Amino acid sequence: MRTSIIIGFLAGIAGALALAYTAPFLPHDRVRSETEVRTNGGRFEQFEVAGRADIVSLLPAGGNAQTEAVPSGARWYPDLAPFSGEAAVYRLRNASGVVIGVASRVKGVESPDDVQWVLHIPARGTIALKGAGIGDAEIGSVVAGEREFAGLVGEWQATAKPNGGWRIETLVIVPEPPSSLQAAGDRS
Amino acid sequence: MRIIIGFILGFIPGALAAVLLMLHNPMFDGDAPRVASGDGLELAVHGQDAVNVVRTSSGYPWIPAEPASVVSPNVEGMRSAVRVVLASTATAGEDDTADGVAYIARVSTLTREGRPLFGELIEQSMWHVVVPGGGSFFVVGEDDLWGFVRRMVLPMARGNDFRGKVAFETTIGPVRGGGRVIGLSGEFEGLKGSSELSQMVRRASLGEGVTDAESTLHVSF
Repeated sequence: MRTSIIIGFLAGIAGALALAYTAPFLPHDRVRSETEVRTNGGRFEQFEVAGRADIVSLLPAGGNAQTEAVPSGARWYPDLAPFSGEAAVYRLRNASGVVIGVASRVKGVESPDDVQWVLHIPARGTIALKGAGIGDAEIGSVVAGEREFAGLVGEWQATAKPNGGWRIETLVIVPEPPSSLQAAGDRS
Repeated sequence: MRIIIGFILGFIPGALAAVLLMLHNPMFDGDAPRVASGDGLELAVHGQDAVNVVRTSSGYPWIPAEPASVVSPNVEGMRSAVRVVLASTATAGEDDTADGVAYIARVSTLTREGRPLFGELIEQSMWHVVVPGGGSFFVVGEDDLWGFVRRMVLPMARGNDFRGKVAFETTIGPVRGGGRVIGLSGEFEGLKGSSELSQMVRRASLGEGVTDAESTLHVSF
């Protein structure tokens, strides 16, 4: 009896430490990337904001009564003047509809049409997009990235859906470092 | 049968002893050493965790949804939180007088990269910051929440609402010097810098979350 209690005690310690080491209460699953590699080497990826149900918050531009705020009753904050643009946070899905991250979008930081998105995908990293709005579409370039998206350059396009959602498409490449031959030529 | 009963009688106190050892191990107090701030910007979020717009989470017991109608982030396979707040801004290195208000969208995720066994509970965060009249930038940071969980969340889980004053310096990465800051537009365009997060909590409960606190993000370019 005494031996089994001692063995149980040691097993209890070992079990608790193993549990703390593996931290099973912190699931951190990585959803498979749905990036397509194009023939020119570019990497295409499509993200989705499914619709109004994916809006975490939306502050319409000051005085814009056409866009409904989320949560209802939220209003633009006059304290933020001179920024009077639009700011929103969305659940971000991959092309299959799985929520893989969160997207932050602001419009009108520098001019009424400028727009920027920061797509944060916890399992992969963060990518920042800047551009301009043209009708229901927005286009621009990839300006910065972190972790998996570090160093990427490319273009993006976002299209607004009638239900309040978005389709965001990015086409990026990893810039090749100059070859030693090119570098020598550049120096001469 | 006696062997099984003996094993169980030993297992439970053994597991409890290991948990107590981890919670009270002075080697792992969970607070990162403070990183010296240079000139830059301080973004301070005051009051009720600055629920100016929304806060919501999936799996953070200390971040209840507010307002109640806000959707949760529900990132697949993650414990994640979103806070959209207004912060007062001040120039670092000068007096603490606020000189403006900034918009912040912050997304946080608890990761498996830290191990509670070693006194680590790592949270990755992304902050998208707009400083009206100044420009915008984003921050990616890693914070060790072990000290916060050990000193506040666990007592709250035992039913004790927290009232007092506890300060945390939590930023540990992803780069030496703290979080990574990348300028996006305006006067921050093209700039890179670092950040650190300090927090002072005065009142919190599991039901209402942190209701009286001040979080300051120190940003240096």
